[in-house]
Amino acid sequence: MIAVGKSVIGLQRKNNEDSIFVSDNDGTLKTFFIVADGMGGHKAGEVASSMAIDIFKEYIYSKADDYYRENTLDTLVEGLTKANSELYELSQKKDEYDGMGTTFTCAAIRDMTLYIVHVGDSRCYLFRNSVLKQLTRDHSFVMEMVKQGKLSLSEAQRHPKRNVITRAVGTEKRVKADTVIESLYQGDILILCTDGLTTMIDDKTIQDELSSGKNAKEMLGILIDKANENGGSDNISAVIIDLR
Amino acid sequence: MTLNVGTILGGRYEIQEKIGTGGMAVVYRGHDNKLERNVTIKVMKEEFTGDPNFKNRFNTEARSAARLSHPNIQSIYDVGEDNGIYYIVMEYIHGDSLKHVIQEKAPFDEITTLSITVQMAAALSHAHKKGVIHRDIKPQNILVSVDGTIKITDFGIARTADVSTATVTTNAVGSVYYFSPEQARGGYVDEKSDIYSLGITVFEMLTGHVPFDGNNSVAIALKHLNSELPDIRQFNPNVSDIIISIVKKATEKRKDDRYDSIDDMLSDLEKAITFAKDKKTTGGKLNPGTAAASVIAPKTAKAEDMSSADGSGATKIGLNSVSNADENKNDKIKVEIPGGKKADGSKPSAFEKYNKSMKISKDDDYENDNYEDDDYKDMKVVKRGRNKYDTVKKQDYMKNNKRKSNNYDNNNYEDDEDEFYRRKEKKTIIAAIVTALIIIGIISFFGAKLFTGGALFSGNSQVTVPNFTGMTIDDAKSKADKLGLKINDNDDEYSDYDEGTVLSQETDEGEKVAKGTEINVAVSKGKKTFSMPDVVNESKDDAINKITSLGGSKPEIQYDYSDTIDEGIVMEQNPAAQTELDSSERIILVVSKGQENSKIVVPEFVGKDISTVKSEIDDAGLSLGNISKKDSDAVKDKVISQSVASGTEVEKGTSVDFVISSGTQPEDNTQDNTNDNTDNNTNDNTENNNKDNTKNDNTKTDNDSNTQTTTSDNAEKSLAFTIEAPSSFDDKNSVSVKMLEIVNGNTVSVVYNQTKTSADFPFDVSIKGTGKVEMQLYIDNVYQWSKKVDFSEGN
Repeated sequence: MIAVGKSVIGLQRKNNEDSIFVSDNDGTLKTFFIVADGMGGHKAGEVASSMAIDIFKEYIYSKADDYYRENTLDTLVEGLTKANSELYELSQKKDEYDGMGTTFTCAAIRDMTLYIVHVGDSRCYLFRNSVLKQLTRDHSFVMEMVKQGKLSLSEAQRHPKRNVITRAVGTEKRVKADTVIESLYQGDILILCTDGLTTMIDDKTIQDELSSGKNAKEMLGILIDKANENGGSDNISAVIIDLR
Repeated sequence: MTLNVGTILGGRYEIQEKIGTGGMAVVYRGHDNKLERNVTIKVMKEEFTGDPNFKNRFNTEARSAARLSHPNIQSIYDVGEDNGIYYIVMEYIHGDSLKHVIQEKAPFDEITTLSITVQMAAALSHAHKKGVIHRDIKPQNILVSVDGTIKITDFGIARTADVSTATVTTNAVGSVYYFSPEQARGGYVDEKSDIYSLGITVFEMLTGHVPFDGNNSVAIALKHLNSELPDIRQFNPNVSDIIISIVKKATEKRKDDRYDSIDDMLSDLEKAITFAKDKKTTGGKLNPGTAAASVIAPKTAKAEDMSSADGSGATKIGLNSVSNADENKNDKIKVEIPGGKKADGSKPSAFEKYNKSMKISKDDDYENDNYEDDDYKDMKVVKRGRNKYDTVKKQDYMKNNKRKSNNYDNNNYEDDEDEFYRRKEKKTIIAAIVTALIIIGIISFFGAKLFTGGALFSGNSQVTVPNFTGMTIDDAKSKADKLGLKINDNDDEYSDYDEGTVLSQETDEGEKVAKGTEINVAVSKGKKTFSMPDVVNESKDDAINKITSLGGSKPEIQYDYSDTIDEGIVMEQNPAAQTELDSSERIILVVSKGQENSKIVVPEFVGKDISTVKSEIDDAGLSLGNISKKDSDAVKDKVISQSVASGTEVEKGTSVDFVISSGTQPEDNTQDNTNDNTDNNTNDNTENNNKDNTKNDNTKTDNDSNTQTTTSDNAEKSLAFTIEAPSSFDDKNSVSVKMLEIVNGNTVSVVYNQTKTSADFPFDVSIKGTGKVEMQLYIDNVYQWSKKVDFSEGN
């Protein structure tokens, strides 16, 4: 398994509010990858995404291996819950952190099984047999409307409120996380990314690039370049996990 | 970020006290140290201002809002930016938001409600006539001053927030309660969207409740789309039919069914007032004796304020609407004669002249606005005719400009209403023209100097080439003629400069050339303009071609439903036909999506019970296709995949196939089902929100190949849960410990409920149950954790 991650500021923003995490992937038990897209004024967005990763990471590492092995998904959810409550407390205490929050998409891989915990509109895709499939569902106003059959996907893509997310880590006392478990196979490629990538390039472009046969690092660079070429209006972050 | 008290913005506005926080801005009471008066200062939140396009939108919207001048609209005095802080300076209003007043005093009686509504409608009427749509009408944006006057604030500001920055909507963001269906859908927002939101606000005043409520923004938005308006009399039995029908008409789901314009609504409201007054004087059932203003006036209102509004309140309302009608009439006159006085004669607390030292436009030359307003009458023509300016006007501008500088130097503030109005109307394009003309003027002046200089050597066979750039081609030619040079002006191009202006010369100024030499110059053909064609009723593609072939920018397409216009046909265009445009201007076409409801967007059925699907599928406008079973972890009869993915647009009546769970565990959920999505073990730790398993390519074959294993165990088994102490007891000795069992994500039962003291913790609780469920722990009703458990693993 090869995993590479990259987070860039894009072309139009003053600071990068995204944070990513790529753990050592030399076969250790606790192998996981995170993308987080922070929000809030001034530096609060950056603080939110990096703190969430930090708290989460620390929590996962603090757990005994046996516990983690048997309760992988629970441990991930607990870590996320902890990150949420700590961020929320901070935002209540300090004026400058008022309203801060972050999306959070973590993919952990253990024994060729993928565990995802997910809040917000960052995404995890699985590329298998030349087909790209989104494993997470965006917690966004428009995607919830799509789910209800009230908006078509194309309407959702041009809806003025398409940027509004319905869940975030740190904005409320409690957070609901979605979880996904999926068996992995040799040859799969996973990609985690923030909306800075997916609003600039469509799924087809990602699928074509992942079909190109290039190495993970090259593909990552090309995808990010393409997002920048198309405007780079937001921070762009992605992690590619290559199981070929 | 909060600004400290004493912070001075733009060199004059002092922050005095934070008075509130809205969705987009923090609101302060402030003081204008120059004009010595109280002001309200809205400082935009940083998360919005970080967006690169924010500045443009902010300036555009704030300026269009500043053009509004109406007794029921909070006046905008100034907008500016100071060190990255974007602020709007507004009239200070002593009072409270309508939201607070509703929270304290609703339901209002009819006369109070109508009095407020008429004022809001009058304000909207004024704004709509000026082409400004509010987009975010809600009681939070409506102020009730201590004398009972209603003021709408934040016109158009909602639009500045349409940024790619992610924001969370929670219940705290009030707008969704007042959202029109088209706003929920992301459709075309126009005047009728304001009418809808106003209708919702009236509902709330009459009842004390918003009509559509829900757990989250999506649920509320869906109700705006689908649910019928609740019966007003259920909350307030005294409301008369006429008012109920006004609210209903304003809040129709389809734009076509609503009032055509706010003026139509206004005239119905006036009728309703007459009716309500009659009802009251004839001793009707309607809370007799309740004074309008005594209900709505904020606590700070003085007794005499209230009494005046009490006795004459109704009369005042009448006057308000009449004066509004006057103003509407006069609006047109005002457009033609910008010097005209404000129609209703009312005067906002003070009018202020924009002043040069304000930091409206620190970074933007266009906005220096240094020209005299008296001449705006002339410019007005220019503005309307877009770019058809001529030399005469040019001279005027130059003159004006000189005078203006003097004005500024003397800091000559006058309390001049007209000045105020006209100033608000300025367009950057005019400023650009003026700037260009000043430059041309200066260049011409130096050119003339050179010319006299050059003439001294006119006896020589060699001529020093003067500067021609910036002159009109005629002036350049006559000048060249005197010097014995020739001008060759074959090179014409479009530019921002006036037609006939020399843009550049091939031979540089100062070079010596032989007499009779031809100097090649480039001459401006003026701005490339075209007359906006009428494209309504044309197909989208034809319309786009027509516009772009004339040199227009690629139109922005918005879609909306229409019962009368076929899909793909342009329904509306902005700007209107015959408007003179240049290639940079934004063009919007509204294209019909055809009849609402003829196309169906497939909803998500995955995760629902098949019996639920059967009952919902007709309502969704779809029909039930094949149902096949498959072994899965999911609860029996739950849909694990659907043949048409959610979000897909299909014809009405399309049939959708479903794969449901047999309720049996697959034999082995690890390795053998390659490429099959349905074996994904998906769970949502709190809301049983099954993952999207929409593509079910291989499900049928898999289904056949799976052996049915009946290992499910229906016998009750017990599991132990350790309950840890909560983080604090808040000085209480005992807490309630409650455990909920959630089956299928919706059936909730309390399986444990005991009072415990701090000494009891930690302790174990043993719960009996069957199958897979989710357990949630609450201590003193505060959520602690949630766990997915499988009782079949218990003992």
